[in-house]
Amino acid sequence: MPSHKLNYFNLRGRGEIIRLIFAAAGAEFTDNRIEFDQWPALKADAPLGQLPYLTIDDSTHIPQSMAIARYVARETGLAGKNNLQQAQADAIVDTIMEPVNYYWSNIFKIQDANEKAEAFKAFLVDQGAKGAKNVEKLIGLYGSNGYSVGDSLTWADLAVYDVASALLSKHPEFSDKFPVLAAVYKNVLANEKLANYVKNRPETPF
Amino acid sequence: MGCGSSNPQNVVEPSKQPVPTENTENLPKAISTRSVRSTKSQNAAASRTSLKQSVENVNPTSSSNLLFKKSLRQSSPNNFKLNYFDLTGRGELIRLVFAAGNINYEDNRVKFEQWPELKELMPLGQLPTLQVNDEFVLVQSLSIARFVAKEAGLAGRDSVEMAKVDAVLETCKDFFDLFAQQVGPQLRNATDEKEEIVRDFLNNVAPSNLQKLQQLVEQYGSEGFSVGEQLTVADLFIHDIITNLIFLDAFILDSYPLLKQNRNATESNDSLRSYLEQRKQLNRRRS
Repeated sequence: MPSHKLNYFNLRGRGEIIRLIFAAAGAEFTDNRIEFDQWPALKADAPLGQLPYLTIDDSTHIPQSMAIARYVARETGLAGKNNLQQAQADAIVDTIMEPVNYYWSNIFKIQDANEKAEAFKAFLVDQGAKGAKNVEKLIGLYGSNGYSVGDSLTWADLAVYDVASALLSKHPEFSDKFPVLAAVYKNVLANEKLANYVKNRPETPF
Repeated sequence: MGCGSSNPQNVVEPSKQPVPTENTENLPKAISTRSVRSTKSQNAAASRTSLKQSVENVNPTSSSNLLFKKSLRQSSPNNFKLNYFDLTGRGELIRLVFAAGNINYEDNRVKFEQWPELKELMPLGQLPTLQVNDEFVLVQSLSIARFVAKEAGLAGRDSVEMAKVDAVLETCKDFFDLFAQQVGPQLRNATDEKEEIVRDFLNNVAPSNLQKLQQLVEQYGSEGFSVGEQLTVADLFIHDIITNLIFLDAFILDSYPLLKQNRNATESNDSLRSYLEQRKQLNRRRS
């Protein structure tokens, strides 16, 4: 495998899915966490002036978190076993990202703490719940036994885990409402390498 | 032709509801169903078993993924049915990939009257969907486009190229989502604000997004293509977006020479060019 360096802030945010894929596969990479005050000087190095981007063999730079994640999944055998399964995993991740992107664009940016909390509550029962139901529907169609696609771990499971773990700490009722997602979440944690990574990763606000 | 056999069954009903509009691409002026049968009938039985067999012999960690593409394509022609409205919208990229890849498929253009009933049958109550071998239903337009691109050998020649293609696709998607959100509604139902909204989009949203695309084309591509030196689905998504923008501003590419060059390179694909010509003729017949 080529050498890989992930460049992202010291946050989970849009970068964590990539770290989870490396971790679950036990694959090596350089986890370059950039502090906010370092960023302005480094912005010109980023292909689109954005983070995350992945550096491959010190020579090729790939922006766009989803493009990076899909590439790393492919390299580590977590993309899906054939073209069809890969398309199914892609579709599940796309469906997860719909409410997630809505959250980043509309809720996250709200400055006032109370307004933000209210907006988040409304989001959970509306876009959040709809998104979760849609993902469960696709897992029902494509997956089995706690796997989102086929019968083995793919990055789609890790994407479910990433979102669920952010929610469950504050909203434990989530696992009752969405048992299919809860099963995937549990299944992912059964992966020792991943569980170990999560235990030891830096704690960040998001 | 790219989307049919030598004797396609084109069923085009005369327009029942002429809708006054400037943009013929995105509005259904002719409410019609065009169902172009593929040449799958000879191979229907064989394709299902051979697809299953071919899947088992693949090394999932092969970084180039060429084995996957090969095994699926060596099996008898797969049976594809695209379900989408009779619009370009979020379905057209998939049609472009089928066309450029010269792959037969059934282009099921769903009439609005049919939709409420069909909606119940679609996994997420949305279109487009792609039915594969009457066995699988794929959802999410970009995932479907990437799947078809892999079948057609248009997704990138190795794993790193595929990542570059994906980076372009995601950048296009960000741009397309903004277009759909801000301008889309005005194209379907123009209000007094349309001109202002379009101008705002062209002045304040489009430039930075087009710059990003141009940057990636410069970094990743050669011979005019956006990634590597031959056509990929990345070029097709850029083409699709620019087609939508050209309706708003015919000269938009004058400020983006690399994108203009890219559009020419993309249109050098014969079966794609043939499809685009056919599409233009169809729109002319409708207006």
